[in-house]
Amino acid sequence: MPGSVELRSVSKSYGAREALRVAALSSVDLSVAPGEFVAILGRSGSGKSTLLNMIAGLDRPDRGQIVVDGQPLADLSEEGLAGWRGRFVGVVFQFFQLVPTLTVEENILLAMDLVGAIPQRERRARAAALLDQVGIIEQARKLPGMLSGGQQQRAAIARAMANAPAMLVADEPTGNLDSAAAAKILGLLETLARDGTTVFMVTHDETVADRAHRLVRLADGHVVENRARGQGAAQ
Amino acid sequence: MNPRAAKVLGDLKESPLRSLLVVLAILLGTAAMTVGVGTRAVIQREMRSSYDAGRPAAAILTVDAVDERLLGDVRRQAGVAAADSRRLVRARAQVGAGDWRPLLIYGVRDFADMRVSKVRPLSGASVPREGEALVERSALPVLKARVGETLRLRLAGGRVATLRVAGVVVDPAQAPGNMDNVGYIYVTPATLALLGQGARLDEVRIAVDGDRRQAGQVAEAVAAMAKAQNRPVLRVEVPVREHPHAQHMKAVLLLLTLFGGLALVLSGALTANVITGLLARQVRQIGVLKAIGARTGQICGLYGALTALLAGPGVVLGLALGVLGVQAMSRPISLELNLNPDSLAVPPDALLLVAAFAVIVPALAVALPIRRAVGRPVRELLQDPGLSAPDATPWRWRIGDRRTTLALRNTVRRPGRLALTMIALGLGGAALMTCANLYASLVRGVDQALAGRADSVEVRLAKPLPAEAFRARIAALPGVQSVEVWGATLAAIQLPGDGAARLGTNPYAVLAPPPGSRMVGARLVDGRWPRRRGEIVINRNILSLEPALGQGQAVLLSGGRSVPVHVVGLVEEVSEPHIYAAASTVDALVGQGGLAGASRLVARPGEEARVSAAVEDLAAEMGSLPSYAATRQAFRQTLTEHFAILLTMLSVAAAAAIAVGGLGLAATASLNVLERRREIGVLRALGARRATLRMILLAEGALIALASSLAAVLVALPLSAHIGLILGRRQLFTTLPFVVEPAGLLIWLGVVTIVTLAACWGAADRALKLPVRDVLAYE
Repeated sequence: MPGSVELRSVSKSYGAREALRVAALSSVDLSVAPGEFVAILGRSGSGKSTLLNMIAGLDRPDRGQIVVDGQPLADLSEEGLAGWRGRFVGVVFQFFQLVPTLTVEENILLAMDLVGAIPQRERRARAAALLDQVGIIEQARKLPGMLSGGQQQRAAIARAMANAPAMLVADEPTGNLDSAAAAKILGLLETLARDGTTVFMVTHDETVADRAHRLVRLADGHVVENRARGQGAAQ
Repeated sequence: MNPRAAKVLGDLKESPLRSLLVVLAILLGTAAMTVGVGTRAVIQREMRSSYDAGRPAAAILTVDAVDERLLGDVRRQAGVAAADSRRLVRARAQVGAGDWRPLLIYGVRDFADMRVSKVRPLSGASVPREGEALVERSALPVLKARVGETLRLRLAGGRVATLRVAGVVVDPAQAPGNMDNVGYIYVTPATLALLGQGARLDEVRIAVDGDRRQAGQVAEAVAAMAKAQNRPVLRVEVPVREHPHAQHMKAVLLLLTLFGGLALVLSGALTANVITGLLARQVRQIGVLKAIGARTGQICGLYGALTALLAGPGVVLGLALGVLGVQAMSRPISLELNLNPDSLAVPPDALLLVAAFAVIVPALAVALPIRRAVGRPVRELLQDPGLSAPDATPWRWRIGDRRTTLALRNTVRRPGRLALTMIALGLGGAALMTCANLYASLVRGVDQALAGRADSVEVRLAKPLPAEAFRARIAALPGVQSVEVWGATLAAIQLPGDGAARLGTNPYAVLAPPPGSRMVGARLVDGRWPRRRGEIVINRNILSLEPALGQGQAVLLSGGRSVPVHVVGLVEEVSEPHIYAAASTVDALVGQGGLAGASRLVARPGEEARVSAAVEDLAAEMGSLPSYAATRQAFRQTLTEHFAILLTMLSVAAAAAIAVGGLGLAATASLNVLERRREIGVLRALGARRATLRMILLAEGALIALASSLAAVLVALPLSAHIGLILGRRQLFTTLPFVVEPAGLLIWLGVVTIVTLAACWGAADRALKLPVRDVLAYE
């Protein structure tokens, strides 16, 4: 089933010289089933964003293997990885990162244009449906700069879902929003997971993490907790 | 290290490419402006000093013969600073089989004691012996002569003689012989006698310390004194005391100043563009500095120091490069103008002016964004993304799909920067296209003027010949298809009134074409052609020298005799200063009817040079000598050689435009990419392939290049028309045709395309090579 993610002994360190290298991830093993909503928790510098980048194919591990839907990401070239990302991964950023010169609708259409997975004639209707789904259809023709933070993040989620990805990764998606807007975003992510999309969300907020099905806690590059909501620690 | 100094250095090191671009922008702008302003200052100074060094004659009185007594009397006359005697003999010099060139032989009283119209020895002998001549430097290529060789001359009446070239001199008062296709040689009175011209000298040349008006008064007093001694004064000239090509150079230097100004605006826009790009990322840091307690003065000091570190090397190196450029430009111009420069050093005031502009422009470019940033609340500064998004409805234009629309909107995302880029590139392109258009206009202007004349050979005689006999003999020459003989003589213009105004300038050619002539190239622009004796038409060339000669102005023409005339028309033509009159007026000036002073004829194509040489021989055989003989092709070549300086300068201006404009485009294109690295990362995270992104970035560059080319065309058209008008009036004394030279546009398009592709490709490549994770983290 699309959306399964397997990490086997994944390690990643940064730094130009050996003596100065800092381990961001150390031998991380993780297995996520399709349609799961996973919250990745940890303090600043714990390696949570690095883990998210690895899962989304935005960065490569130094050691270990990442397999998504049976596809080892190491087998893909940079261009292959870009194509894979466009087709199978939706990315949501803390600061939204919408293209400021394009309208909300055009941002979504651009994502479809870049990947080309959705037939041309279906794109506008799909963009409208996604905007309707995230509740900002009336903002479709506005530029991102004219929207509130919550609305921009919803637009970013709609863009992330443009190519119907099996997996959505969100780095602190509520980190820059007030509580009401954050609640709406979390509700959206829950809905997407319920509809079968595997969702990974990085957060440092325990209450936000509580909305996820699974909680993965990192400390110093190690997974120190991996449990389903309502269960005890698995690691 | 002081933490503030460390921050300034850190900022520079953080963006080495941008810092380098700022230095380069200032360097090129400063250098271009130095070349423009410096060359103008150097050439004007040297043209004046070189001309004055020869102590030019303020007045020339022609008498029958000058002896030591008369010369002594003149020297004692009030207002006379110096006086000397001379004689001018017109002849022809043979430079090849059948190839005779106009030659002016100056008889000099005493080479060791020249007091007026002095020449400076350059090589060989400084005093020629009998049978020897000194050749003016600029005439060497015309006469194809070297020291030690022999010159073959033909004098009036057909007499042929030879003179040995003993040395080379510089005569700073002469129009460059190589440009006017005239030879100048200097001989002793004894040599004149050897040539059968008699040893007498007939000109009294006077130097006066005052202006032309005072020179006229002194000349009049000297003439009165001579008459009182019963020595008739045949003619008085009060020449305009300036280098013969001063007017020509005024137009050229005007262009140079204009392009210097363009370079200033261009580099200012470019500097402002790059510096504001450099500072865009500093906004958040200004917020941080304010948050930790920095005062406005401290922040301004920090960025002032940053600017000084960038502008300092740019200004110093730019001035140094500019000074080298001035010397590189001034040397060939000096040579072309036959100047004898004392120094090619740029005057300090010109350097100071350029340095002041070069410092003020970047200072202003930095002051505005910093002042704006310092005035904003700290919270706002800390949240500044470095590249603000449009917040309203503008820039909603669409072309093609989302990718090209994105490229289009990114292009207009920063209207201020786009405007600066467009100004820089528009002016650069306009300068290049204007240069190309002007040169094409000049050449076409000459061609059109020549096309209006049916003749292919023109000969003017030093001494008139019987018209009918001359016409018949020419018509009988092989290769002659049709012939006209014209009345022609030389005459000075004397304006009515007292003193200087009454005195004439140089003698001008007065031409009388036969009725119904097909060989007049002049185009009537005001009034009418002369119908009867006493009516004249002048060309624009004469009007520029004698601006008082308006329509209806009554003057006295002084040739062999004096004839009162009045101006009835103005013509435009590509030629020397000419006066057109009815045959009866020329007859009255010469004092005899039925004589021809010139001939224009149509030769069989390909035989023009041979026919010209045959007419020359014929004139000599009939007892005269051509003062001028040229084929249409040779005339065209002489004219276009006058444009050599202009072409050199236009080429330099065009090269500077390409360099500065190209740098501007490269800077803008790379800054656009650099500033949007995060956005590029987002698009890559969304699955965009490198090729797609590269195409978007290249499309942005292409749009800037296209828009700037369009702007350049829009600027170049009126600029070409306006400068063309000035240039035409001052260079060719005619209205130049407006020509749009496609080569200028094509070269510019080629340059911007290559620079755009290179700059965008390079910047895109660097951005696309970075891991997505790093790009997303980029600020």
